[in-house]
Amino acid sequence: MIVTFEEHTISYPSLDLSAGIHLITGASGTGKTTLLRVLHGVQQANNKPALEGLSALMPQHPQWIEYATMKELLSMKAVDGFEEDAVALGIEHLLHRFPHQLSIGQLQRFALVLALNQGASILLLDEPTSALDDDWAEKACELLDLWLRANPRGRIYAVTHDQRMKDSFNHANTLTL
Amino acid sequence: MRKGLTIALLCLGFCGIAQERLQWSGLEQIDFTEVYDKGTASWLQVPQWTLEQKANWDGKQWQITGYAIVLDPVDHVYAISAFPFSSCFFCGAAGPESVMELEFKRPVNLITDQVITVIGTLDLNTSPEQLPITLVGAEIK
Amino acid sequence: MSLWLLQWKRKWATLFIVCLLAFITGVFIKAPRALEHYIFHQWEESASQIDLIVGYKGSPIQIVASTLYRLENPTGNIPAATYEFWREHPLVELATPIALGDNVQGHPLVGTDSSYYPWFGILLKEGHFPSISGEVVLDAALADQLKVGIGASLTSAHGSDSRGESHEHPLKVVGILEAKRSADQSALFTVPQTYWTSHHSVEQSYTSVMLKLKSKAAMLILPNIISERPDEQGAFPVFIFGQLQKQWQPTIDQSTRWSWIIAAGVILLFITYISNMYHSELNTIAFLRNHHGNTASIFIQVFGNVVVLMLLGLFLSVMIIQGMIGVLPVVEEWTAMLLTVVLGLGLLWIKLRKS
Repeated sequence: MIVTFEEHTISYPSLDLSAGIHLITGASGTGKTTLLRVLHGVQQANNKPALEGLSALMPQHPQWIEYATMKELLSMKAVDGFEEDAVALGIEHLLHRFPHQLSIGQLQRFALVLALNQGASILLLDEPTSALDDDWAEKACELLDLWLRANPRGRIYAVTHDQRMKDSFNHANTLTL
Repeated sequence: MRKGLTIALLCLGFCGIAQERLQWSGLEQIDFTEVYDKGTASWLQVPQWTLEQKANWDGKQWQITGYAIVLDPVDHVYAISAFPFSSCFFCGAAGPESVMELEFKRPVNLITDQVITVIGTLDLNTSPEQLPITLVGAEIK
Repeated sequence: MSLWLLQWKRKWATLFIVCLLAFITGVFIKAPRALEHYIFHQWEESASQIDLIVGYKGSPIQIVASTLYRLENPTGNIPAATYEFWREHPLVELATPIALGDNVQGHPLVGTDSSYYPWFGILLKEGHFPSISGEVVLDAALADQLKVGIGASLTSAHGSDSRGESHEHPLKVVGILEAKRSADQSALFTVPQTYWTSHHSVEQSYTSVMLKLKSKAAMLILPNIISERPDEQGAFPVFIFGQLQKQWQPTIDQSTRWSWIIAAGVILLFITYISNMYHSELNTIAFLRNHHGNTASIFIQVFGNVVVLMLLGLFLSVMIIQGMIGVLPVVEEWTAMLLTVVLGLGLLWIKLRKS
């Protein structure tokens, strides 16, 4: 698969479109983040692979609306019931805070809650556990697993260098760029 | 100033566009008769048009250059004069033929002594209550 | 809470900025017009109402200033026969005699007939117009100032100020008016006979005659007739106005040009302000983009209320300016402000599309 955008051309191995989780690894600069953005449709590209279904993107450095509380933000974009995942990730007491009042790890957990609760059938996760300690990383992987069980036809493409995540999903397909 | 303008207008007259450009000097030939008003025991002037003048001017389109006189700033009523206001006919020796009434197609804003060139249709009057000539459907060129 | 609502909390200050900038722009665009309005309007209006004033030989400006504005002493007296001549003249539609020279506690006493009042839009609020010698009427505000009502007595003095010698014939207030022009609001009106009685004059005379002519063109025909009549001076308010305007117009035109330059500067500032809103919303825009937001929906969610606030601000500021300066909104002003808003929002849109 060759993707061209602006003046760049990136040659990707063909994408596995089967259900389940796909881990994407590779050295930095090989276009992992670009691939997720192209798949999500926010990066214009030629020859982009056709993914059917609504996608949710969790960027490596999520941007937030700085004048909205986390509750307001999630209410805008997430479906009802996201509070459950917030409880599971231990951030339900932080819902009334503004983004700048939270740590990177807390924000990453919020971003994951948002990705999981958009009613999407494709999750595009960019380093979803990079800022989490072991306990929360494990909890995050559990939630992803639960999501896959609840969405048997769902697909997760996760860019990761995190060994903890690779261990949790040791059966997953791995795409190395 | 008056001489200068007359000469300038005469010069323009010889430049080949004389066909439609009316000269103030040409209007000096207008004859007037006096009409007696019993009520006030006074005389009023009424223009007498020759057949030639009627044929050449009445209802014909002409262009003329002169100084604007403001007659009503609110309702935009103006006249055009051969001479600037301070030396216009009623202050000097010229006659009423050196001023023409203007009826503009669209309201315009002019100030006194503004030099304007207007195009319009000549209407020759025979009433002592009006100036000899009105330029109707006038437009600033 | 939707983003639209959050934006109202965030951008309410825009309303003030828009009002302020639109206000400054509007004032600069309008200032010369207001100046022109104040300098000329009253003059212009009176001048176009009265075609010609005939007085005793003297300065036309003095005749106009005394007859219309009571700012000067009259040039002298004209006999009643002069008034009769002009009233009967075939080019004259309406002739109103004016007698001046006396005052009541410093306020001019104008002797005239009943044609004066409708000519200047003066209405009777109470009582009746003066019909016999000694009866006076005055504007309601002046009556309050002099603390007089209907039936009250006043005394006139000779001259244009209150120091003159007092007449023995007292005046009686018979009516209260509602006058439009400030000159009429500060004067008292009576019949010309009051002057003849108090001055014990045998000959009936006036100080001037105001004329409305059958056509505006008659203004250019009458000077020749006046010049043949002895001891008479014709004063054409509109010609005096024309001369004044000739002096003032270049100054007003100049200030109009400057005010447009200043207004253009403010407009540029305004456009910059609007288009800079984009930078304070970068994260919001990125967030919405990552959640399948298209340009139109992002524009509406993030800047939609700006459109509403701007139109509201423009409307408010124009109303304030109009209230303050009292000139009708002019097309150029609306155009300039709307163009500003459209340009500013257009820039926002372009920036958003490129992101």
